[in-house]
Amino acid sequence: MDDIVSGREKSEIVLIEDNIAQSGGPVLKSFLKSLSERVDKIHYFVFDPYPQKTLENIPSGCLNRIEIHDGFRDIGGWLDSSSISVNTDLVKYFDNLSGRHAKQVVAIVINSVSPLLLHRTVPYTCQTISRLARQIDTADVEQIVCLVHQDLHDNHEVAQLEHMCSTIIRIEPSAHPQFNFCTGILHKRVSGKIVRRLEHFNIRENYEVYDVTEVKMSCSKSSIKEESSIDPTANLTFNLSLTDEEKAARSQVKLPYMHDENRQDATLSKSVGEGKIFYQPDEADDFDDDDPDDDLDI
Amino acid sequence: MFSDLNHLFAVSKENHLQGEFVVISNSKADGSFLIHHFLSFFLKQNRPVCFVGLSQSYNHYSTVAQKLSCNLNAAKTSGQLVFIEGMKLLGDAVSGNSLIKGDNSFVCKAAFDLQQFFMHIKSTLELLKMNQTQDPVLIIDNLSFLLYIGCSIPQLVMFVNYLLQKVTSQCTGSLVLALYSDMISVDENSDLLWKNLSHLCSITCQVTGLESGYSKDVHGELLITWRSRDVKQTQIKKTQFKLSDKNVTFFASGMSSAVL
Repeated sequence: MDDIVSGREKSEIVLIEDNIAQSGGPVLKSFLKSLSERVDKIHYFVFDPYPQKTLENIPSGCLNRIEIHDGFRDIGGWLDSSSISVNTDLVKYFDNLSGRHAKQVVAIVINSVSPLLLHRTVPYTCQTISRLARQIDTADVEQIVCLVHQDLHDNHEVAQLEHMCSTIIRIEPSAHPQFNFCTGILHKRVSGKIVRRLEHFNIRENYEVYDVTEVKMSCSKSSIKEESSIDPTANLTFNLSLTDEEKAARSQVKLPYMHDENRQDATLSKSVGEGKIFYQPDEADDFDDDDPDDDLDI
Repeated sequence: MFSDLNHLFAVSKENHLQGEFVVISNSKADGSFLIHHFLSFFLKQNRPVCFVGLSQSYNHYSTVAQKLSCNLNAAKTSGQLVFIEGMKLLGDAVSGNSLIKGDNSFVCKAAFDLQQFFMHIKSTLELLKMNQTQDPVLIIDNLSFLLYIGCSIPQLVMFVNYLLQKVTSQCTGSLVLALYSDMISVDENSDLLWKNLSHLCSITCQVTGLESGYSKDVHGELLITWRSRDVKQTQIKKTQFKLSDKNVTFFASGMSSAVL
């Protein structure tokens, strides 16, 4: 997390996803602060309320490098004022802007893209962001950071945005009292490797990220394994397991259906005709001495 | 005005909810007492109020305010209160009883043109600001009504954006909006509107019924959230309430006098 914020890990487009429960404002401010130390100029597009409040507590040295483009004052173009709205073509607007100070290293921060998604279409928003990242000739765009209120949009809309971003930081409610923030990070490295991590961290008053701790997904798995390896026969009042001697004795026992040479030989060696039939007539039997077939003339 | 509520909202001499945007949601319980409270509270602070009534008639609000020892008629004549009776205007437009005057042109054929409506509210607020010394307050009861008559979510969010920009950014006024929102039900639009507003506002009040069903001693739960956009955590207060004729009593969950 701190590598991405501080810029040690390169990332072209960063997407911060927040929700009602946990605001992404502080994380965005951390990016603003760290970017202001790295680039010549930050262009800060604001479509959310209180544009000035979102810059509170940021050191004034950093503020000099941040240029606010207030999209909130006239967000729908109802007032016919000169400020930008969701209908403004941001790429064209930006091209005209950056013409003034050619070939500076700049960063673009958008807070937030949710109004763009709501009032314009998703493809338009995606196109705008990607064109801002790649098709600006008049300035060198180092990084684009966008905030999106993920719970205001359908999953597929957010998924489309995610596809074109190189880093996705999803802010989740922190389960640990020690940490204020918990984020799921998906980072696509320049080399093509994809890193997926879940991290806890805190943010200082001056918007420095510290105490970054990775939440080990594997540790929860291993604890499940340990639980499963507990011997269920341990505390029984009767004996279920066998000692080695008993096991040996058991293996000696010959079961009736098992193949046994001795028994087979004994069965086969009995010669034919040795069997006799003894008949003992019952007392109640009406035994006739006469030959019942006497009268037959054959 | 309920003094207990002032306590809950941490209202003091310095803090009169200036520059705050309060959203009230009702779900399975009636939270209209909050609207009546805010109306009388702001009038007693001598702040100019623009009230858009979209769920009840003016007489209803006037009668309730009288119970809370606040005279709406007097406030109206002195110019402190401007009451826009949305339902009546819409009814007139549908039945064609009266000609829509140039002033109320935002009501057209059973619908509200939100852009025109905003312009109307804007000029009202500017007038209030000119005549009165304090910052104006805008209260809308109830925003869901606009959703039900066919305004789309993007339109409404845009409308609220402009109201917010007008009321709390240009002058440190206050904005209070009420809406119905049933988190459990299948009304996705209400839920989406609620989420959108929650992202915009500074304080949310959720009035919900008890999970265990209706009770005659506990009328519902009130959850107040101060949304923070900064490092500090969002602050949450949760309490149960019982409404009586002229008052409302609050107590911690499970601490109703009927239970103890």
